[in-house]
Parts: sequence; structure tokens; C-alpha cells
Amino acid sequence: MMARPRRQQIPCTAPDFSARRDPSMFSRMGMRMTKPLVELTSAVIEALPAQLGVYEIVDDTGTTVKIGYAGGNEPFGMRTALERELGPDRETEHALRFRHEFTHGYLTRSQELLMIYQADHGQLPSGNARHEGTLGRLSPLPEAGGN
Amino acid sequence: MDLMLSDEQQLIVDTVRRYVQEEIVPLEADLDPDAGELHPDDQARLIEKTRQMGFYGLDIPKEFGGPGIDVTTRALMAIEMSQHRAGLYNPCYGTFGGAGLAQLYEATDEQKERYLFPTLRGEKKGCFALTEPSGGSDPARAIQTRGVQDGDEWILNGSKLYISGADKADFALVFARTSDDPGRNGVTAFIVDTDTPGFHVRRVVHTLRSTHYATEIQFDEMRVPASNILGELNRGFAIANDRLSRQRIPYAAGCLGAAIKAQEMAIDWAKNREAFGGLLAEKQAIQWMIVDNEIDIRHARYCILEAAQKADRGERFRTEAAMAKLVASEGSGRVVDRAIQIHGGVGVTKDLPLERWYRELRIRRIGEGPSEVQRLIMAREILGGSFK
Repeated sequence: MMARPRRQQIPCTAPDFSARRDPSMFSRMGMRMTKPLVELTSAVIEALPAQLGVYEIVDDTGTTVKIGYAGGNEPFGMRTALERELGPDRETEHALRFRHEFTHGYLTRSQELLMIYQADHGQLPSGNARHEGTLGRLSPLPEAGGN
Repeated sequence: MDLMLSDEQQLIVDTVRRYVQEEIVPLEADLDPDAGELHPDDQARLIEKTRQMGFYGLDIPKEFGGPGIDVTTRALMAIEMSQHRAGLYNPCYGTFGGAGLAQLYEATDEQKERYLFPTLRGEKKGCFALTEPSGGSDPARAIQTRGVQDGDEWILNGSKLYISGADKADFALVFARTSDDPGRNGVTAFIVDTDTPGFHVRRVVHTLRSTHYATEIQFDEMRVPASNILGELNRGFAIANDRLSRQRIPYAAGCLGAAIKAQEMAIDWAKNREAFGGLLAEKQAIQWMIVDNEIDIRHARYCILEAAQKADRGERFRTEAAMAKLVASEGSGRVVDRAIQIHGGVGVTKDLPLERWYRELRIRRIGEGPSEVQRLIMAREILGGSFK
């Protein structure tokens, strides 16, 4: 009699809340944006899908100058939002590179990124001055990683 | 049960309906489809307007300066207040004011001076920290946050999950286990200033509700003065439970408001959209969905008003409130689902509020006690507690 093939083991990705009493569990959450930065040019933007999400723009010194989002009113999602950063009405002057995430939770994710930035640097990016005083306080563990 | 509105109730309903249509809905046209807040200038202008209408601070008891609105009228208002895009979780963008944490009305005079009155004046914000990673539906047994007395202070260690507003709160109502009793008789409520050393908001918890996040908070050797215990030692669960029961009627009414608006949109669409040589409204498949919507809406309305009227008469309304919450949250979810189906492709776009309500109504079946807990509450009363 042939041995019955074993069912493939599907990894359980649900967090183990029972172990959450160990504070180190907090650090396993991907919170910071750590994807590689790419050039912020029209050619790169045009190649992006027209989806909703969040982005971070970094200047030539490596300083984050803006954290923004492509929301539901953008005609072409991320493309429209990033093209605006290149246009005459852009809020930042030295935008050179960027990274992004596609997410339908763009409002909460952008607020989260701003709060983490504020916790890490004690201030907001220069292009986010209008958020001053509107954000909550987050104290993520330093090792709370990215994605 | 009387389903007719009094002249005064009808006037209030009409006033709130006009306010939503004339003041709130036009502003939403310029906001992100998932937005949860108005521009601060609009917010301030509208708060002034609701003050002039005499409706500001709806849920504040009369003895603390509130308008003293009965539960039935409050439910009728909640049905109207949620009939806009952000209405489910931020009815009229908070321009009718909040009541603060209801538990603080039971606080000592000194606690009221420090926390309740500043909250009612809009100077402080509080958050309610009950649910833990170990569970939320049965908080009395799930609470693992531990409080240990050290002289005039208590040292709290543990964590809380899905806590709204902890990152912006000035103080938190924290429930911790303070005795060896594993159930409801070992839980104490503490009022904790969020700048207390050891109070950490560790992360944002993202959900289907993309306009507003929850948080996970951690207490690390956090010292709280014994004078900050709310109510009696080891009797904190009664304080938590009281809130859980009271909130269910307006919570259910909010669900119903979104369903009513979705039904209006579905009927309007069906009467104007043509397919296969006729209006959608002429197709039996669409007619039946509209009728099923109406059944769910009327069922929820009946249950909400029954619970509210019992509460107003001073009768026990725990079962009715649980039934209203269950029927309204589940029924409204079905209504919005059918409204999306009737609309077709445009129903799932962000051009309409339906997709947002669809996501947010899914959460309503869990928030303020999931459907299964509501059934448990009803079963206990219908069958009696002795079968346990």
C-alpha cells in the first residue's frame, strides 16, 4: 500500500499573541519603510502602476524631505501624486530619490510613517510642516524593522 | 411599541437631516474618500453651529451641562448623523461633541476636576484601554495586565491591543488584574496620564477602516498613584461592562443610518439605470434585493427603537440592546452589500461611499461585542443564568 502523501505544511502567519507579553515581540512588526530608494524621474514614475499608497522622498544628502500619500482622489494614483512632486507646485526642492508602498490604508500608513519619523528624529520632514501638532505620539522600539 | 415620532422628535430629526445634507455632505466632495477629519476651520465653524442649535455635547448628562436628550431621540439622531461618507465612525465629524469617557461620571470629585471637566471642555482627551492581545470578547478573564501595590502607588505591567486614540490621549482608562481572582472580581480601573514613565504606544494597528488606526500600547513598570483608581479596587470590570451595554443602542443606530442611505442610493440608481431595454427597477432580481434591504432596515429600526424606549422607561434593556446591535450591524452589512450589487462596477469604486461603508460595517459586527457575544447575552436572559 502506497504511503499517503503528507499534506503540505502551510505556515501560520498569524502573530502569536500569547507570547506578546515579551516586549521584544513588538520589534517583529514591519513599521519603517526600508525598500531601496530609486530616482524620482518622470520615466520611473510613468512605469509605476496607478495604485494608491504612500511614498517617502529623500534629498541628495539622504535626508527625508517628505512623506506623502496617493489618495483616492488622485486620477492615476501614485503616478499623479509623484508627478506633482516633480512639478512647479511641489512642496520640496531637492527631491531626488523616493520609495513607495502600495496600500489602500494610505491615510493611516502615512500617519504611522510620520509618527515614526518624528519619534526617530524629533521633528517632521520639512515637507510635512502642515502636520505639525496634528499627529499622535508613537514610541516604537528602535529595532522595529521595515519591509 | 410606538413607532410614531413626537412633533419634537420629528423636528429634531428634520433639523439633523438638513444639517447633514447642507453642511456635511458638501464638504466631503473635496475630501479624500477615506478622510476622517474636516479642515480645522470647518470643524470650528460647525461646532459653533451645533452649539447654537443646542445639540453640542449630545451624550453629556444634563447635570454636567448636556442637553438632556432621551435615548430614543438620541438614537433617531444617530440614524441621521451617520448618513454621509464618514458617518459610520465619525458621525458629522464630531461636530456634535463627545461625552468623554462615560465611566468618569462615577469618578471622585478630585478625579472629575483633573480628567472629566477638562475633557468636557475639550482641553483633554482620554482613551479606553480594555482589550488585550489575549482577548477582547471576554475581557474579565482575558486581562493579563498586572497591577501590584507598592505603598501609595500601583506598578502596572502588560499591554493592550486595538486601542483607539491612545497616541493622542492625555490620559487612559486602563484595566488591570489586581488580585488572584481570575475573573471579573480581580480587575481594577486606573486613570493613567499618558506621559507617565512606562506608558508606551508601541505601534499602529491597521485595519479595514483605513481612515483611523488602532494602537497597541505597553506598560513597563508604570507607576500609578492609588488615588487614580476609578471606583473600587477589584471592581473595575463593572465599570467596563456598564459602558459596553450602554453604547450598543447608538452604535446600532449608526449602522442603520448608513444602510438607509445605501438603500436610497440603490433605489435612485435602479430607477434611472437602464439595462436590457428597461430600467433596473423593472427587473425582479433588483426588486427583490431592494425589498430584502427594506426588510433588514425595518427590522433594525424596530429593534433599536424597542431597546431605546425600554431604556427611556427605566426598564431592563440588556437583551434588547444586544439584539439591536446584532440585527443592525449584520443587516446593514447585507444592505450595503446588495446596494453595491445593484450599482455594479461603480459600487466598488471610491466614487461612491458604498465600498467604505462595506469595509467599515464588517468591523461593526465585531466592535462593541461581536455578534456571538450579543447572542450569548440574549441566551443568558432568555434561558436564565442557571444553565451555566
